[in-house]
Amino acid sequence: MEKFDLIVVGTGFASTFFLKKYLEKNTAAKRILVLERGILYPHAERLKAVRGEEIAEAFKGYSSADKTFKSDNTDKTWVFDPNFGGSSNCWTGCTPRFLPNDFRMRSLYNVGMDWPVSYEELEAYYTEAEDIMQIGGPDVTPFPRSKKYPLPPQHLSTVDKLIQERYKELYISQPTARATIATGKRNACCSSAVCQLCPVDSKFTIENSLSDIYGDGRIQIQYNAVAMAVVTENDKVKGVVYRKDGKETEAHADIVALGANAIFNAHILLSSGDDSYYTGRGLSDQKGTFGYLYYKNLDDVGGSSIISANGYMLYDGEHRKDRAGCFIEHFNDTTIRNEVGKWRHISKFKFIFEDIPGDENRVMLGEDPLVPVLDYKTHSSYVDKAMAGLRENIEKTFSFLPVEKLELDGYFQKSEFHICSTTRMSSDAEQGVVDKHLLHHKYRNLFVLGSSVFPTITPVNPTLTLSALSLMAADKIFS
Amino acid sequence: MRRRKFFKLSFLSLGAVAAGGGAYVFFEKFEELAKKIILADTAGLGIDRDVYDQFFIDIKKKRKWDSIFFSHHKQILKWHYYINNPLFTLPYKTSYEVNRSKLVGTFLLSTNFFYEKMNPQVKIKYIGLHDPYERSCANPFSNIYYQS
Repeated sequence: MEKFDLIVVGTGFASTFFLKKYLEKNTAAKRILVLERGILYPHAERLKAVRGEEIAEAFKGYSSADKTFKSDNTDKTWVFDPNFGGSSNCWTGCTPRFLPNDFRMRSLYNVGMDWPVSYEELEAYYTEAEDIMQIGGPDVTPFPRSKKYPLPPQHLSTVDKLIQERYKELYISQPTARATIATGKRNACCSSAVCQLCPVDSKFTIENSLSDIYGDGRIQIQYNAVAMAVVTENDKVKGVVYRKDGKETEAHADIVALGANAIFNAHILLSSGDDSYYTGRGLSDQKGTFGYLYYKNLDDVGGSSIISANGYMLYDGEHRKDRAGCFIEHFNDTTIRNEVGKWRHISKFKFIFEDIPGDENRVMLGEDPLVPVLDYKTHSSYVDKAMAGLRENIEKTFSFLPVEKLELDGYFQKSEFHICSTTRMSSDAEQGVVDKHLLHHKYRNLFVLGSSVFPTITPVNPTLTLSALSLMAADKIFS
Repeated sequence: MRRRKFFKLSFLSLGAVAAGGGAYVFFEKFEELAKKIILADTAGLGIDRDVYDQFFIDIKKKRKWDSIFFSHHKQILKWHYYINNPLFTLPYKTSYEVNRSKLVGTFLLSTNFFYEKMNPQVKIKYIGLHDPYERSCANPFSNIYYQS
């Protein structure tokens, strides 16, 4: 039986940021095992594949997310990359922070639950995560900051500038991990608008910015190694059982950190016999819909990147007692208006609503011990109420612009690409699965990392927050 | 008796015509519909025929429409194109408009039109299929092409 100081499951944001801080703080650690269920499928090979070129034999075994779980709900898709670097390979690189009020939804708005950690406690780790990812962003933001962003902000478009003039700090250049100037091994973003696989390797990925960590002599990384369960003994975790090449192996460690994703973290815990009521419950994602503003004599040009700006005008406030907060993304892709002479008299926005994680939406065990079953029924009425008032809110919010026509999709996208809340964080074991330091309430040497710990999900992208939480968790082991 | 037979035959004929029309729409090659839409929607731009021809050859060769449009989007485009009229519009109108714009946009982005700031005085040339993986940094509406 091999014995390690630490076993980490997964190599995405949650695991890698945890590991980075752990290695910095714990020079005494000698042996660390990392289990990665997929392979290292390099960016260069991915580019070849998308261009229709021949890829090396070793990468033809690339596995997609589709077959890693079962779900009967065809209205809801769950998107992620089960390979080295996790969803850093396919994310868009949007890195807004949460608002301070997002952590106090129960106290302020009587919905969902409060986080056991506050914005103020997390602020230093937000800053650190932004430094690591080399985030570009503006000086003025709707959330307080102790330090400037490391890279300059993106360019606002002609329409963005008009909206910002009206709404000030509630409409900002989007903070982003799409490098606004070249940094490290990353090129500057040049607005190709296909961020799921950046043609110029501009967005932060684990591969282009933190893969050196895995070259540390103390780390042994196993690819194609699927973590099945943690091995428990009384109130401690002894190690992990994983399957590789059809063979099950048990490895032991002093500390175990699960940083898979919100599907697999919950599934591993359920497979381990975790009897917390909330393990697996609360499976959630935001709900987004597109809207188009058609203008009279106003070109929307000159913005940078795929999403140039974010709007907070419909996000926070008393309305959250009744209906979901809405986050606005202004898309700067190649959308046109199909009318001669008015080709760019149009703006494309996405309106993204938060949901309240519901107990009935679950990750469950299935017949195959390696394949979680998802029982996602639907989103809450909190979202539908906000969607019902969206047209009126948009008309009011953008009434100062020369809008000729507003077109709304009228339906939700099948995914906002965020999987959350299946092992939620709470002050006590009655209300959740892990504590504010992401330590399991029962197994005090087991960390559960990532957006699976979010008690509420907010309307914004989770990556920066989950990365900051991982830094904080690793930091607290040694304090 | 004769009258009843007449109505019956009329209904059957109408049904047959509707079914035939529906089958035509359903099975029509998407690239044919795409040609019709692009030619119609850019007719006012005075584009030479060889610009269209080069684009249609390349898009067929690279089977690009399949990577740009999901099959349900193709069907939305087809049905709306043939059935919509001033008195009646099928559901998913926004989706139709967005996808029709995308279709025409794919063509125009493969020319110098947007890079020349939509200037009607500049002759429109074909510059190669718009594909961010073949030609990155080519979003003509971005800050690269519109310095503030």
